[in-house]
Amino acid sequence: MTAVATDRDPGLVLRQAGSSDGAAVAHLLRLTDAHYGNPIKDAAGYQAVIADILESGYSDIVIAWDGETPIGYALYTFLQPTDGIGAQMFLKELFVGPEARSRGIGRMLMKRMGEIAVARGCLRLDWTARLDNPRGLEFYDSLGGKQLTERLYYRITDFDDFFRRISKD
Amino acid sequence: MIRFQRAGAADRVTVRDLLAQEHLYYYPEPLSESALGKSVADIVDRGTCAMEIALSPEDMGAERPVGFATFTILHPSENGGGTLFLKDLFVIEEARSAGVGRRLLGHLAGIAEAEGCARFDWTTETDNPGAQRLYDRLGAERVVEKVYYRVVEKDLAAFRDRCGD
Repeated sequence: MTAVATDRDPGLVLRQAGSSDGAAVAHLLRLTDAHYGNPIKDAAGYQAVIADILESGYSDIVIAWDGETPIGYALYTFLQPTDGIGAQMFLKELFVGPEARSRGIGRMLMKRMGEIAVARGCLRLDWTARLDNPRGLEFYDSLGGKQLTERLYYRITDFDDFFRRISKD
Repeated sequence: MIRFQRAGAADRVTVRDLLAQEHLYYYPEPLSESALGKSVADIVDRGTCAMEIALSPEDMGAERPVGFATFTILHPSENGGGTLFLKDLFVIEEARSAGVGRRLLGHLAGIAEAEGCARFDWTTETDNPGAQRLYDRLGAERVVEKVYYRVVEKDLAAFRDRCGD
């Protein structure tokens, strides 16, 4: 994969992750868990997730590197079907580690998402953001992302309850 | 019993036909073969988005495809499990109101559990009250703390440029 340095900060490089990037992904997952207040696991605890991310084929991940240190990532996929020629690109997670904030890395990663969407001829690029993150919303609004109000987002977390209901329905 | 089958390379024609029927449910004009071909290839060859095909019960005559669900599995989530994200759920006209959609949802929830997912997520249009009633009745939670963002194709290049150097 090509590594592209930015003019602004030549130490910063974005690279699509491959099967040899397990340690970098583990580091980034640990930073993500710490940020969200989730339990932090040892390297072995992330093995299954890393395998899913790097080997399942369900998603791709671009890692932002500062020299040898992974400092952020964007994890995304391509969804089908759509109503035209091209997939719906869906950005699941955009994350920049605490020590790397305010250096424009989130913006670099979003730009890369736009580049990938254009290169693959995607019909759209979608993502979600939390309402209680006004800075994130402001950032996405400033980039011209449109907030879709005609869409409801549903979630199941209690599978037992769901199976009980679905067998009764 | 409805049977489910993961769409593979041998199912190109079935996948194409199902996608063509879905498009005609939402739009008056058929989807072009090039668009259908791209979607089929993405599902069958690249596999970032898988498809489960629902096949009719044998007591309804010869077994035939009656619906589908496309989905992917994404990370991270708060407890280390993934998120099964459902993109499209569709049931062909002749098989409506027979619980096929509900069975597809249950089947996907089973996949989510087997894959160790912490969540099963999807979106729906606000102007589809029938679907919302079903999802609410099934106990799906409406995620209201999220905003759903979109950049459409014609704006993608401007978006990329707006992200700066």
